Amino acid sequence: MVRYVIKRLLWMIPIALGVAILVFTLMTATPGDPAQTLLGATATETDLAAKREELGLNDPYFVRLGDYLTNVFIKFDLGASWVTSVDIMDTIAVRMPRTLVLTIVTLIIAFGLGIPLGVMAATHQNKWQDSIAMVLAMIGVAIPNFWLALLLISLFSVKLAWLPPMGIEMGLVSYILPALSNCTGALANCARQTRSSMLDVIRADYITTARSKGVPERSVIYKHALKNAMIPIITAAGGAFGHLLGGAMIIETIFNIPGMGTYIIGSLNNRDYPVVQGGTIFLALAFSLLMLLVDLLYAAVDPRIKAQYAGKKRKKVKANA
Amino acid sequence: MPDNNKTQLPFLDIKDLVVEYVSDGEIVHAVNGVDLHLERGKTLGLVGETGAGKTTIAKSILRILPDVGAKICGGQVHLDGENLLELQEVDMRKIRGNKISMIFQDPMTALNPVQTVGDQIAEVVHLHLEHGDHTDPVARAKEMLEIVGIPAERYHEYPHQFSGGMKQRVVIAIALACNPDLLLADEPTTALDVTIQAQVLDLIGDLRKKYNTAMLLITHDMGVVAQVCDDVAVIYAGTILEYGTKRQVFKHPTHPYTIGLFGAIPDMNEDEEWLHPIDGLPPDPTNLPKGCAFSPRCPYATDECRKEPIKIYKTPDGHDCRCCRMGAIAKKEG
Repeated sequence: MVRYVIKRLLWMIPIALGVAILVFTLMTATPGDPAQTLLGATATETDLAAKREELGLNDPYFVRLGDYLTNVFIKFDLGASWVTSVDIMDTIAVRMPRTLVLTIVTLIIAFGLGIPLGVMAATHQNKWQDSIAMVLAMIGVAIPNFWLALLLISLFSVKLAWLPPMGIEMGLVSYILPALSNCTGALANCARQTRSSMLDVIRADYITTARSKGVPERSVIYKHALKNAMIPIITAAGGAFGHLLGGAMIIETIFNIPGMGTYIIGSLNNRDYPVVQGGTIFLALAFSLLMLLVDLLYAAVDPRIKAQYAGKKRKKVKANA
Repeated sequence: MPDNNKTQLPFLDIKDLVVEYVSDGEIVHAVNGVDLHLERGKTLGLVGETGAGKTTIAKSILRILPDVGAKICGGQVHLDGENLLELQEVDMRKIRGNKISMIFQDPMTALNPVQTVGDQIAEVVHLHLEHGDHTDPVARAKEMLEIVGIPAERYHEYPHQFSGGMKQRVVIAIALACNPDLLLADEPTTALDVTIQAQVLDLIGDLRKKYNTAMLLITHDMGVVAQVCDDVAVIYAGTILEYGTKRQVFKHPTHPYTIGLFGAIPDMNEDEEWLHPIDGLPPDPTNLPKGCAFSPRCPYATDECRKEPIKIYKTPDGHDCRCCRMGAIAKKEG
C-alpha cells in the first residue's frame, strides 16, 4: 500500500512537467504583448523594449522554457507576478485555502443532500419520491450557477439580509451562498449516480441475506447497500471536486472571493504569464493528489480493491526474491 | 405423512399460500394454494424445477419477498401457532435470523463483499441479543466459524478470500448462529461441486441434529432428497402435485410428473444411450392451464384433467397426489 502511494506520488513529477511545458508553450503562443499590457497604451517604444528585455521576452523560446523549468523544478520557485511583483507561492498559499474551503463546502452540501436523495429515489423506484428526486436532479443540472447566484443574493442578502452578498469577511458564513449556487450540478450528478448504483446493489443477494438476518430496513439500506454502492459515488465526488476546483472562477468572481479562480483569470487578462503558469501547475498537482485520494478511498471502502493494490506489491517481492 | 386430525397445529403449518408477482402489468401466479407442514427436527424436501415457486415459498415464510411487484395474496403461515403473515414488521424482524433462518443458493453472491465474514456472523447474533442464547457476538461468531470448519483466525477476512465451499460454510454459520428452530435451505448445494456438496450436506445434518432444527430443503436433486429428507413435496407451477413421506414417494411415485422426474434420472447400471426428459416446458405462469398445470405435458391427460382444478386424492399407501387419473395410470404402469 505504502509502495503504491509512493509510486503514485512519483508519477506526479512527469505530470507536473508536462503541464508546465504545455502551459508555458500556450502562453508563448498567445497573441498580445505583455510589456504593452503592463505599461499601458501610453508607453513609449523604448520603455516597451526595456520592459521586454527585463522580462526576458527577447530570449529564444527554448532558453526561456529551460530557465522556467529550472526555476520551478530545481529551485522550487514559481517566480513573482509581473504586475504586482508579489511572490506567487506566497499568494497561492493565501488564496488556495479559500478556493479549497469553497469547494469543500460545496461538495459537502452537494453530497450531503445528493446521496440521501439518490437513496430515496432508488428505494422508491418508479414511485412519486423517485420522480421528484429525478426532476430535481434534472433542474439541478440545467440551472446556470451564475443565474442562481444572483437569485440567491437578491433573496438572502438583499431582501432578507441574512447572508453577506460578497467577500469573505464573515468567515465560513460568507461561503454559504457561493457554495449553494455552485452545488446544483454536483448535487444532481451525485443523486443520479447514487440512484443507479443503489438500484444495482439493492437487488443483490447479500441484501436479501441481510434482510433474512433480521437487519432493520434502514440499516439494510445505509449499512449494507450504500457501502457497496459507494465506488461510483466516490468517483463522481472526485470528478466534481476537480470540476469545482477548476471552475471556481465564475462563482469567485460573482461573490468577489479572492481565490485561485479570480487569481488566474485576472492574470490571464493582464498577460501575467508566471502567475497563469504557476497557478495552473499548482491546480494540476492538486488535482493529481485528489485522484490519488479517490483511489485510496476506493481501497478504504472495498477490501477487494485494497487487495489489488497490495497484490502488486506482493508480486514484486516475489520477483525480487 | 403427519395426519391432519390433530387439533394442534404442526410446528410449521402453511395453509393455502398464494403469492403473485406483477410484472409489466401481467400477473405471475407463482404460488397457488400451497399447503405444507413440518414438525420440529424433521426435514421436508420441496422438489421442483426452476420457476416452480420453491424459493418464493421460502421467502414468503420469512416475508423477504421483493417490495416491488411481489405480493402474498392469501393463506396462513403458522410457526408455533403464530401466524407470521399477520405479524408486525418489528416482530417479524425478531424472528428472521433467530427463529427462522435461510441458507441461500449461491454462496458467491450471498455474502456482503465489503464486510468481514466474522462481522457478518456476529451481526446476526448482535441483532438477536435480547432473545438469543448468546451474549458475546464476536465470541459466538468465532465459535460458529470453528463449528463449520473454518479457523477462527479468519474472522477478519473478507468473502473474496474464501472459496465457494468455504463461503457456503460461512452462510451456514450465519444461518445457524442463533440456533434457529427452522432452517430454510434454498438449494444449498446447487452451486457447489459434488465432493463439497456431500460435506456441506453432512455439516447441515450434524448441526441440525444437535439443535433439533426443522428444515425445509428446497432442491431439484432427487439424490439430495433421498439422502436428507423425511417428507417430500413435489411442486409444479406453484402447486403441490404429490406429498408424502420419502419412503412413500420414492417407492410408489404416483403423479405422472413425479414418475417423469424419477424416469429422468439416468440408470448407472445400464448402458443408456439417451436421457429421458419430460417432454415439453413448464407452463407460462402468467397464463396457467385451467385444469391440471401439468396436463399439457402429461402422457395420460384426458379432457377431465383440463376442465377444472384437480383436487387431492389419497394414494393406496396413504400419501397425497393431485391427479384424477391415478387409478388409470396405475393400471397402465402395472
